[in-house]
Order: sequence, then C-alpha cells, then structure tokens
Amino acid sequence: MEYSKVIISIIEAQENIIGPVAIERATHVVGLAVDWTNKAVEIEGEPISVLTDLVGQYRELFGDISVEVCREAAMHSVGSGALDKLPALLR
Amino acid sequence: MKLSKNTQRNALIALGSLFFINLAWWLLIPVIWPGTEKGTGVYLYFAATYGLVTIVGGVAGLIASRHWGGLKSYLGKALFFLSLGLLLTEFGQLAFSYFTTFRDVELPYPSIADIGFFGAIPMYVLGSFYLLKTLNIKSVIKNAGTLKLIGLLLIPIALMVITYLVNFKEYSAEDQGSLVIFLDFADPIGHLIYLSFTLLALTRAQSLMGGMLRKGLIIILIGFLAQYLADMNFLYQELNETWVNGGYGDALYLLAYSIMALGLISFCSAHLLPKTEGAE
Repeated sequence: MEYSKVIISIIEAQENIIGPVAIERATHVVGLAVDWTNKAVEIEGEPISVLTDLVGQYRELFGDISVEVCREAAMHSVGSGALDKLPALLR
Repeated sequence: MKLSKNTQRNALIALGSLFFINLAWWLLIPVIWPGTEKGTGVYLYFAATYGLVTIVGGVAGLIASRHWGGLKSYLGKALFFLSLGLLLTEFGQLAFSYFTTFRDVELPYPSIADIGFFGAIPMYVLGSFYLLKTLNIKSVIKNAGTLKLIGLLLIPIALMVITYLVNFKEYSAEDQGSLVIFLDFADPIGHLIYLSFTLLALTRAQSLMGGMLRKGLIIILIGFLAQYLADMNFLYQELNETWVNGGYGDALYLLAYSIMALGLISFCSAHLLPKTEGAE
C-alpha cells in the first residue's frame, strides 16, 4: 500500500478546508518530509505512526470533524479493499 | 497586513473598549441628558458610532482569512465573506448617519445606505455556507437517515412560517415600487437562509470537541443568531413604525456585531501561528 499517496490525499483534503495551515501542520509530524511545491512527501518512520500523528495534527484544530475529513480522504485514496492497513482511527 | 502574535490582543482591546464605551454611553444617556427622546440628539450620535466595532471585527477577520488560505480554502472564504458582511453593514450605518444626522437629509428607501445593509446579507449567506463546508456538512447529510433529513428541512420551513406571520401577514404591496417589494421580501429570506445554515452548523458542535477552533466557530454561530434576532426586531419595529435610531434595537445590533467580531478575532490567535513565526 502506498502510504505516501494516502498522506498526500489527507493533506490535500485539509488544504481545501484550512489552506496553507494544513501543510504547515504536516511539517510538524516527526518522520514525515513534505515537499508541497512538488506535491511530494517522504515517510522516514513507521507509516502507521506517521499517519496517526498527521491526523492528530488536524484533530487539534477541528476535533473529530478533522478526523472525519482525513478518514474520507484516506478511504477515497485506498478504496475499501485495503482499509485494514490504515490506523484504527481512519477505518 | 499579516497575522502577528499581537494581532489578537490588539483587536480584543479595541473591540472591548468600543463595546463597553458605547454600551455605557447608551445606558447613561437618560442619566446625563435626562429628557432626551430616543431618535434625537445624543441617541443619534450613539447610532452613528457603535458600528465601529464592525471595523475592528472586519479587519481582524480579513487578516485571519488570509492566514487560513483566503479565497483558496473554505475557512478562508468563510472568514472573508463574514468580514465583508460586517464592513458593508458599517458602510450602510455610516452613510445613513452621515446624511440623516450630520447633513439633516431624510434618506429615501432604498438609498445608498441600503447598498451596505442589503449587500451584507449575501455576504452572510456565503460566509455561513462556507462555514458549513468547513464543518464537512456534506458527510452529515450523506449519512443522515430520512427522519433526520426531514427534521433538518423542517427548521427553515418553520422559520419561514414565523417570518411570514411576524412580518408579512398584513403586508401591502400597494403603491410600492418593484425594488422596494423585492427588498422587503429578499431581506428576510436572505436572513432565513443564513440562519438555517447556522442552525445546521450548530448540529456539528459536538464533533468539534477537543479542537482549538471550536470556540471561535461557536462564537460566530452565536453571532449569527444574535444578528438574525436584531434584524428581525428591526423589521418588526420598522413595519410597526416603532423603530427609533439609538433605541434598544441599535443596542441589540451593538451586541450582535460585537459577538460576530469576537468570533472573527478568535481566528487571529497566536497559538495558530507556525512555531517559526513566534507563536506564544
């Protein structure tokens, strides 16, 4: 499963809502390098933990609504077949 | 102008000062100038100045909008249109006061002031619409059962009936120009639309729990409710010919504008700045 694709989908969905703050928040995640000019991310740590931290960054702003948006973006990106490979809060 | 760590503090000081000075002034008029009739003298000066709170809220809101992506994001758009709505309202108030209080000219209806008053309504509709998008309302509607959807639809219908009973039961279009008739109906309908969006948005309050933007969003939604009540009171008083400038209706507007301004200022928090820009 391409976790970087899921992460890009999540950042894009959040960018639609909160603008550049979405990218800025993503840069706070340990183990995630973001190059948004090229719409590219690099996971340098454990993907599940990076994804969980990323969702946590957005949750700090809008609570469960942010989690909901992340979940929808992730599901849209991976489809229903690979849901078990996502962190629990995104399933 | 860019969001800085002092933006919120300065805006709060300005808003708080203007709110309390105006409120104290309005409350003390009967004490300091006993016998002054509402709609005359110092009451008119109060009516001309209290709207300054909207400038503070409007400017802070525009700064916040830019921080949150401006017209490229839902939240940025919501803050932008709400700020524009507040600023247009103030344009209407200043134009009205300039002609009626300072130039002693009686303005017709509609007049230049109504560009501001009426122009604010579509801005509020757009602002509340983008707030709904910010709150991911699409997902609620998609997952709502039939009963919940009927419930959500009943709210605007009930409000429409109330608006009709309060404002238009005895309305007569005789001798009215088509623009006046359009404005008389479009005005409450516009208010009804943003109120319905606001009530729908309030159903998301629980899901915002734990988010640091929750407070600001709830204050804005309360501001919408207060604005709706102030506007309905204005329409009611106007149709019953009991509206006076500087009366309690204007004090209601002072409160509504201040709540909305406070909500917009909440989005200027230094805690939301990137750490490299000196967040507190």
